[in-house]
Amino acid sequence: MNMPFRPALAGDKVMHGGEPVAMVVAETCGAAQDAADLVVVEYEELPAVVELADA
Amino acid sequence: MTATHTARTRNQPRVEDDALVRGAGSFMDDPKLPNQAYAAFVRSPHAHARIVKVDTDAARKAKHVLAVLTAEDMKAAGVQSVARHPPVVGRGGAR
Repeated sequence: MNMPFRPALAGDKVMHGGEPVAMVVAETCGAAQDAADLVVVEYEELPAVVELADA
Repeated sequence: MTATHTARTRNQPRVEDDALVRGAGSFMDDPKLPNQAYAAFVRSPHAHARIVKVDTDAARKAKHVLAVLTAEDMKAAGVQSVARHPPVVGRGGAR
């Protein structure tokens, strides 16, 4: 069966809102969340299909 | 209705309520194991975008942080495609 490639963490491109880009592992839940906020990701937005009719 | 459907929807006696109503239930977030670690994800705010740069330096240096992983680490670890759905198998078996 033809299955599209779905990375565990996005590398070159993100293909949908909320796609995981990085994962932070820490000793506490709060430390993990706080450190995740420190990760800086630079994006270059690409055209997105957001209307059903356009899809 | 088929016999299978009837059997599946018949009321089954519940065995979990006693613990739940006494506040003694155990959920996924409850067990605390030795050396337990926690993960948090950095997620895309965009529907479609090229990732120019991911800077993890500050996060790596933060207190109590054990690891910060990105696509490069997945590649290095040989993690393949994470399929969201298993392949559909027809009634006649696998194709």
